[in-house]
Amino acid sequence: MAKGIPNSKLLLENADLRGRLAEAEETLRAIRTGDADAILITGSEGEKVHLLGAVDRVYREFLETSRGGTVTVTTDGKILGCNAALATTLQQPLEKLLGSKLQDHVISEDVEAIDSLLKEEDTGASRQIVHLMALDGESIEEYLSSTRLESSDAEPVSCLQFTDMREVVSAEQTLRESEKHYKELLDLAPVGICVVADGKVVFVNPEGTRLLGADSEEQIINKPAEQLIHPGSLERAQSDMTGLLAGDAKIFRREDTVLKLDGTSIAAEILATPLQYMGRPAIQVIFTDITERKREEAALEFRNILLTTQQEVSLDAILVVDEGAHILSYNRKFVEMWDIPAEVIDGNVDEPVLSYVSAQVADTEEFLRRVKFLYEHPTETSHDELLLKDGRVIDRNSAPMIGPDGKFLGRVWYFRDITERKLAETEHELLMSAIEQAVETVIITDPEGNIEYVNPAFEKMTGYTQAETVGKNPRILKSGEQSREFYRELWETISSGRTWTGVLVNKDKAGKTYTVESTITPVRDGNGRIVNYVEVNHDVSAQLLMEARLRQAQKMETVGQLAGGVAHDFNNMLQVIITYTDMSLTLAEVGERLHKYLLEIRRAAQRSAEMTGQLLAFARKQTIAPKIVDLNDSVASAQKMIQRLIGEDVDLAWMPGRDLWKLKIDPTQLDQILANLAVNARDAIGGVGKLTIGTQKIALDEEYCSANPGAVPGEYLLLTVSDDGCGMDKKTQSRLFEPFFTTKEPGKGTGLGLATVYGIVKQNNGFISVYSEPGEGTTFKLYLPRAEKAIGEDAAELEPEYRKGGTETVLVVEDETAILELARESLVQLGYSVLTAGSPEEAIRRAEEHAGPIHLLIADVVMPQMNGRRLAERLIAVRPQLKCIFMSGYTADVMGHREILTEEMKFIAKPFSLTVLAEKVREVIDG
Amino acid sequence: MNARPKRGVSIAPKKKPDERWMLKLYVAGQTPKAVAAFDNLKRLCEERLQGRYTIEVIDLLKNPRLAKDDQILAIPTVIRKVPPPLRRIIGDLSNADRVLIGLDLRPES
Repeated sequence: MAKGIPNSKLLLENADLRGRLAEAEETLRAIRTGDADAILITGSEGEKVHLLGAVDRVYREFLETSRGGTVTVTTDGKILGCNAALATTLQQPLEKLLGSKLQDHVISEDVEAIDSLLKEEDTGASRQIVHLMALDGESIEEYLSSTRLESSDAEPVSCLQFTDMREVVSAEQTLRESEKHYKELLDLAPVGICVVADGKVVFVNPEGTRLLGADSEEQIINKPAEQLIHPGSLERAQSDMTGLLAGDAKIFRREDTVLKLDGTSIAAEILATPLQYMGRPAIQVIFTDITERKREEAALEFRNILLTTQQEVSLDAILVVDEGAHILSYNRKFVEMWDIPAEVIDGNVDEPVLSYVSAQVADTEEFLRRVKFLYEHPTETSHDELLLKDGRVIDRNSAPMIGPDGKFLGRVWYFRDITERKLAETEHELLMSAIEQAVETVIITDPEGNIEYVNPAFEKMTGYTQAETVGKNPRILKSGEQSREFYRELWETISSGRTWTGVLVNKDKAGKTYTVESTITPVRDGNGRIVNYVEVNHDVSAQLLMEARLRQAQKMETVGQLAGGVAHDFNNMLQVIITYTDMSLTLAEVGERLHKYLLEIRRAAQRSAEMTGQLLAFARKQTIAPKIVDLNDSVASAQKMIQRLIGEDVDLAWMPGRDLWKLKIDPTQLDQILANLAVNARDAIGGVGKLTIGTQKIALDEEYCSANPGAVPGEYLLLTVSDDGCGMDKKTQSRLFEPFFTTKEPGKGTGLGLATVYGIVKQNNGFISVYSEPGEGTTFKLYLPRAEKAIGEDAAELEPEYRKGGTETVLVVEDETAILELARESLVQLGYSVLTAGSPEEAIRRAEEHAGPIHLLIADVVMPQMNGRRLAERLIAVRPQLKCIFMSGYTADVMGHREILTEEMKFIAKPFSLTVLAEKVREVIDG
Repeated sequence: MNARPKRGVSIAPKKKPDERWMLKLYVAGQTPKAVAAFDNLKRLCEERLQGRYTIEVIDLLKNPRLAKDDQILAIPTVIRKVPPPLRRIIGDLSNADRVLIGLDLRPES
């Protein structure tokens, strides 16, 4: 180098170059010594980082994440790298491990193994077991796998991987246990399990062995599977198996016939699935013997049919529900009975059916209440009847279904339409009621005539109770009044099948006879044989009595009419006699013999008039003028008359009643009654005796009147006349009130007395009862209806001798000439001016012609063309001031239904005396 | 080997005590060396340069081109950028003395 000043530029360059060289050397050194991880290479695509030992890194990462411990060591055992898992196992931090020797971390016994392992040139993998030592001294058994790596570094390294033996062991154990468990399953399975591979049975479990009838599995193993299948199903089975193996299907399940070893067959359910067995494709077949099941199924099926048939054939509608109220079954009748539409019943739930049914029941609420009750008390049975809105009656029955363990399974409902039965029952009840309550007696006998049944009316009529008569013959009622032939004929009639009607006279338990109208009918069964006789009787005793009474009354009526007719005419004659006699008397001097004779005549005529009066009274033809009277007063005042009539030998007892109602009766009639009864009593006593007269008030009720025909309920005055005379027998009593009937000798007594009494009582709307026994005396009870009004004023009794006359004009109308003349004479004598007419027309003419006033009209009530009343009306219309008196012996025809005068009409009865005439005329004109 | 300039040429100025140091660490991913290098560097800086340094880590796996700035060849490499002159060390910096000398982190005296 030339001496001189060093070139700074050169020096700088030099320094720079040296620096760079140093850096390059440093870099190389770093790479060589391994200080560098990577170098940068400029490639065609730019700078690239080249990792030294890149493979190493990937591998390291893999190991890093590995579960087992991994470590990379030198041949000496120096740890170049390890993963976290190893650090955890050794319980040491990773940094500490790096650079340490692996041998320090194994138990002393294994150190040598590690040494030799690492020094081995054999680069293949090796496996062994070593024990790592953790920091706390715990020894961990590890399965070691090591691989020697020739790396890019100078030294070869070894890669060791540790696996915790405990995991290995437990995995093995789990597997072994699982295998054992599986084997146990197969051994104990109650189903047969076999595996078929290549067409042969390669495995069979104990149950399978048993089912196939083998003693041990060797007998089955390697058997061709087709030998175990019934020939009939072989083809199908084979195609199934093929399908399984091919993967067409995953599973086959069916019932088939399996052949046992001995050739017999069993019905089996087979389940086949594909399976890998020992590396080969195979089929696992699970099968069970369902022979028993099949038998049971058949039996069940049979039972089912039996049950269903029973249900459907049953007359009852049947519904079965379970404990949850779901419908289990029902029969057709149920649907029909309740007319349930298909959609409702198919729902199979109880609720809509229930509403549908309950809507048809008359008492829906009660129905639902009962159902609810039964649901709440599942073990109850129930039996009741339902009335439906459409009138049907349904018999409802239900019972719980209890399982063998006592558990409630559900409920069965039965419904039966008993409408017909109910109707029949109602009809039957009706008929029975009719018979039981009928007034007619009903007797039912057997074909021999023995009594099977009698109704209450029978008991009432005969006095025999049902208990007393059942089993007996109706002849117990025979009264003896009818002949044997009569009964024989009766029996012949009915036993020949015909109905007999007639009248029976029977005797009741008390011995009293009664009469019945009877009809006896034979009753036949379906074959025409007589099985019963039915006798219906109608009590006619009362009827007969009534008929008798009616006849009697009619007889009396006839006689009365006859008598009345006679009496009327006779009356007229008497009228003449009496009046002329009266007039004659006025012409004769008192004390003169003529006067005396005339008096006698008059008396005789008077008595005759009285008699005819009685007769007319009997015939109810006598006109009467009823007044309000007090019975006690009337009887009391008649006492004198009565005593005179009965004579001194007979005692008169008077027993007046208290607080008597008033009586409305003509006082004359009352006198007539008393007189006649007194006379009758006197004659009956015939000597010494006692006559008692009593009065009382009495009210008669329905019952009395029903027992006593002729009586009418109401309030009455009872007049009792009682004697202790000879009494009467029944025969006499029955003819007692007959006119002209008398027990006296001819000539004695008219026989009219009691007839008169009868007539009077009847005319006054009363009735008579008689009680008499021979030797016991007689009691007459007269019932007279009470009066409504208060007592009136009696007309003043006129002195017979007093006759007041007048000067007025009187028109007399009478078709009987004699009477007319008589009247005219009488009136003239009394001083009146008299106009006469013999007929109504003449009377009208006279009235028209007469210029002056006419003060009084006296007219006969009964006249041919026109009755007196009408005439009076005609004349009054013209002459308003005209007053009237009517006269008659007859009143019945004219006065309408009643025989009593109205109060307004003035009346005079024929025959009348002059006195009466005078009085009446004066009274009417003046009044 | 110390990359020191020859004697006689005083190139590097004397270190000023309050000067902020800037260091760059070039790595290739998170390799153990890289991690170690960073740890060691950090520790040294804390000991000697507390409060007046920054360490910038550049991952050349992500961006290889950045290597060109400082002409990196091998990694991990730490570069002292500030104060100049540029110093570099390759390796994981586990040899503390070498690092101190290399980066000229002489102890104050």
